[in-house]
Amino acid sequence: MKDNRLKGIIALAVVTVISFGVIYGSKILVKDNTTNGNTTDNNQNQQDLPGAIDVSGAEGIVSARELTDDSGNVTGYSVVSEAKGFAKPVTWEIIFENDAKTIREVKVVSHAETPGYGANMEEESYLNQFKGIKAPIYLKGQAPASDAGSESGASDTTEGFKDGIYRVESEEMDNGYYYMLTLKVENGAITNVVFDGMNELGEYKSYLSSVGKYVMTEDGLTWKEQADALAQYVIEHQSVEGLAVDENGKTDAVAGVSISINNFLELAEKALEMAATGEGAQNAGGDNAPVSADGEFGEIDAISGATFTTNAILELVNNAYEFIKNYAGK
Amino acid sequence: MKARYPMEAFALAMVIFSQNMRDALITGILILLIATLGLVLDGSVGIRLPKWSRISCSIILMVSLTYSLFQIVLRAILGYNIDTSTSIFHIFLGLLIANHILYGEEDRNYNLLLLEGAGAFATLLIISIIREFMAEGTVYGFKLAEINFRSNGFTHVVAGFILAGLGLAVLNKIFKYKDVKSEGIYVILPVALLVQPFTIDSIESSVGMVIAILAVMFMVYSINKHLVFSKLSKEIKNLPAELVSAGMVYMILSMF
Repeated sequence: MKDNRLKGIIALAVVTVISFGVIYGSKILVKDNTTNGNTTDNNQNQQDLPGAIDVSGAEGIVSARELTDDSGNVTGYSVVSEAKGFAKPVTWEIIFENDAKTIREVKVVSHAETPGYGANMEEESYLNQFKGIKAPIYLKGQAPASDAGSESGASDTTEGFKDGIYRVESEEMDNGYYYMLTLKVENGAITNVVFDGMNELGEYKSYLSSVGKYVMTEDGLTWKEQADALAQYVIEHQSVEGLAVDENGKTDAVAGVSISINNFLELAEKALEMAATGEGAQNAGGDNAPVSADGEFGEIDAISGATFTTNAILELVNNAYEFIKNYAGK
Repeated sequence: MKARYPMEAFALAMVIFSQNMRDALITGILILLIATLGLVLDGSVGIRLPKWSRISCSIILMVSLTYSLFQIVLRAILGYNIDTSTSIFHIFLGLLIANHILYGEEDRNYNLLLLEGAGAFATLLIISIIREFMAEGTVYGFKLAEINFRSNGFTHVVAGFILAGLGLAVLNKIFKYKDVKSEGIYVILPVALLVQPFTIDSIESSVGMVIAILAVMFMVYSINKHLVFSKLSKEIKNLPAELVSAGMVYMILSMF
């Protein structure tokens, strides 16, 4: 009995030592994996480089330096900036042209975002969209109204709606999702409608349904396809009239749509009312335009299914821009 | 015959915490540590307590210890972000470890506990490597290869259930376990409670959740009743067969 107890204590000691080893090793591996060599060291190295800029007191700025050519002329600025991501801070290096506004390129320094979601920030296609755009940056369709336009962001047209982007969101969660609808008006006509839902984890319903994580029926349209069909109806009819619903919120007006469309109708009606008056309009820059019409800001794509990461990227790039703009006095 | 290592706790870890090697490594070693600590404490203090007190003390101690240790290691030391459902799974792990301490082999052999626990830990790591590599092309977050046949399906609990069942069957064969007594329901129920295979849009979400849980449990129960009369090899009988059947049930119900 006593012998067995002693064996137990020895076993416990062995497992404890191994546990500490595993946890410590894991910590080192995570650090190597996420920082590609420690942020503090990186900061130190950056500060040791020629042209280093004092970043003390600047929130979210890890380090910054001037980039110069052989004759000492400033050709650009490098700013290492960080913001809180989904798990740990996301750190990027943003290189600006010497106007302290145009982004030359961005590099991922470190992150611990989820593979397949936030970690998609490392994809070359995603990083390339930053090349040549001007800071501050916004998500496509969410840029503030330009001062050069009308006060509300909407421009008058001869037809029923005022040009601009109108974005409305549901106030309450319904079956675990917040719903949102974006309506774009160009030349007085509705040219684009996007309807989507987002859960508490920041995952979009359109994404979940397209990757098979939100499945309603095996043979029918996916949720995203049904949302797109509803959007197409509004574009074709320029209104939601004719979308009659039964007591369950279902409609027969759009082929293949079996979802309850109460949320869609509520948001679409609200957006159409706004579009009729121009109230709450945002600048319609065009989906493919990386830079606003007057070149004052840039627009980027969100990372699908990774709201926290997208917000972190917007925050760290804009923080870097504010910092370097103040430093350069431009 | 009873398992000498916390089989149900490792089975739950193989289903839920094997999506990537990072989680599997920490979960496996902590299960082994907590189970060993629990057995040593029970052997020196627990046996002196009346039965009713021993049971409640063991459950409270194991659950609180498991929850606290996972929070300290994952959140404070490694800086991971833990969501609520993961924390609830940690509580279930504590309950399964307490179950092993209270109702496991009475003649405790610590040598075999470490040996078989290490085997289960290794199986957990192998499953995590398979799932992470097939889903992301990475191992421990490091990209190994750009593979074209990646599939998100490996992150789903279906893959967890099936690989856990196969892994435990292999372990039973290696450890020469025959018809080992285990409760598959203890592993499947927590998963069904927190990860439903389908959602029903047209009704209240909580009602839809209850229907999904009941559907899983009913189907798993029905299959297990049928399996009683099946001629299975002794290694795959009980927990491994129940886990694989739960995986099949999830696969079928996920279509809806």
